[in-house]
Amino acid sequence: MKDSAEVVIVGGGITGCALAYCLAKRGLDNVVLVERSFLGSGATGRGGAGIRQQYSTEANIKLAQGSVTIFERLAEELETDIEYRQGGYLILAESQEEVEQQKKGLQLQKKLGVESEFLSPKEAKEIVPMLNIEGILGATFCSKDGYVNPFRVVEGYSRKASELGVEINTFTEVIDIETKGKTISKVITDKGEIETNIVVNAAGAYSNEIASMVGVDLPLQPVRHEMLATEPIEHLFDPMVLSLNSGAWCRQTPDGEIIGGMGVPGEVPGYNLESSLRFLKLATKNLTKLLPGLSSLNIVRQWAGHYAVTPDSHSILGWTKGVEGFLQANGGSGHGFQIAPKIAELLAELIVDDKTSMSIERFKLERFKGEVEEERFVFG
Amino acid sequence: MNKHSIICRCNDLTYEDIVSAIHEGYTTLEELKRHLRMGMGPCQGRTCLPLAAQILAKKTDRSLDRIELPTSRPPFEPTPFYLFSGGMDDER
Repeated sequence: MKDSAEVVIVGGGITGCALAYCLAKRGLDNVVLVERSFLGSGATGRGGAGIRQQYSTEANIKLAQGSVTIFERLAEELETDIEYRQGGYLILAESQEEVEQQKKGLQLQKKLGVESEFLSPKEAKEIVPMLNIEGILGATFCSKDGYVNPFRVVEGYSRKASELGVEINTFTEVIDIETKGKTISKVITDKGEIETNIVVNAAGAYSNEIASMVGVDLPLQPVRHEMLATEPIEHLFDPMVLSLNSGAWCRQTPDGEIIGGMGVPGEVPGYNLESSLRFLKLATKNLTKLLPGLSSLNIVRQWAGHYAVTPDSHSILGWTKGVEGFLQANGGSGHGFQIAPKIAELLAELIVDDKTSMSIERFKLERFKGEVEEERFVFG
Repeated sequence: MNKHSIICRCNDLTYEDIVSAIHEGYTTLEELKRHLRMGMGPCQGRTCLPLAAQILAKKTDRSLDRIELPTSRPPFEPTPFYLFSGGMDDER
């Protein structure tokens, strides 16, 4: 392992790997990435890997749009089949209040150029014929939304980053970060020490453990979200199907498995990754309500991951006041994966050019001292 | 065992597939599972994981007890939605 680096990235999920690649592409030749387990072992590889542009705030929509543009060219750029499919996101509303919320979201999305539309229950059923539209008042749909295989994305980014000179250390845990005065000076891992003036905190749900090493407290909580996968079956539908009401969602993978999830109400924040029967009961009930045809389908496994939840469900991005050289790239709140490609580009600009081509002001850590607008479209 | 021997029956993975993934640097069962989708089919690794563990041990020069098995995921046997959701769709 190198003993000094221009930048040390902590975390080998999509954010860390994409940033490593973007920095190397911009000419930095001494970047080191450190990951406690294997690449994609955290939320990156545990989530639904959906990619949408249907958000409720301008800041998230812009990051999402930028990321879709990148995802569309990513397979070619990384020379990796990332299994990107743009089958759309079909988001269902079951109350008038949800319809109003959707229409408000659509207005903003339209203004920013997202091709999302409002559909009647009948039109929704044309897209997903097995949909039960009883109780459905409407839906929003964006055909450019979709999903990828998260492991292929991480493999692609990390392989390209390595080829461009990034040193990637898996199964290497950060134990401490040292500062000289108020400037980052050293990262201490269980495999050795790395002198550096820049540390990127891309540790996902574990970001607070990293931040606390330099006395920074992030308003970020790990919250367990569970998922399930079924045996593969013939092709049933293209889009990601989501309920605004329950937060339940599912999609079909290219292999034919149905994967789905939903947040269990009352989940206590913490690092718990156990699978619960309560989740299976709730998820199967809510998913079969939407898609009764799933009823006799076999579930083969369930698992869990963590959302890194911030008070306003927006990421924490940018330099940290008070600790020179400490960059935040975390707090995805359940949608960090899908906006990571754009985040990585912007943070690479920030590190190399000291400015970004799109403002990330909205995402700075210091915002939590005032009033902030919350992201309303959070699922799972 | 030859290079065409099937190791993972659910996902049609051969001995050669496993060995080349190990050479690419996937040297834990957790990584092999995610990279190849090995053990993620209906049998959830009952056949392939013990075989892959032996191949991995041999190729990376470790003893078998040094190879960690992936986390077992419930429900352990393929189980239909309706057993958890509380009814077949035609009963509602």
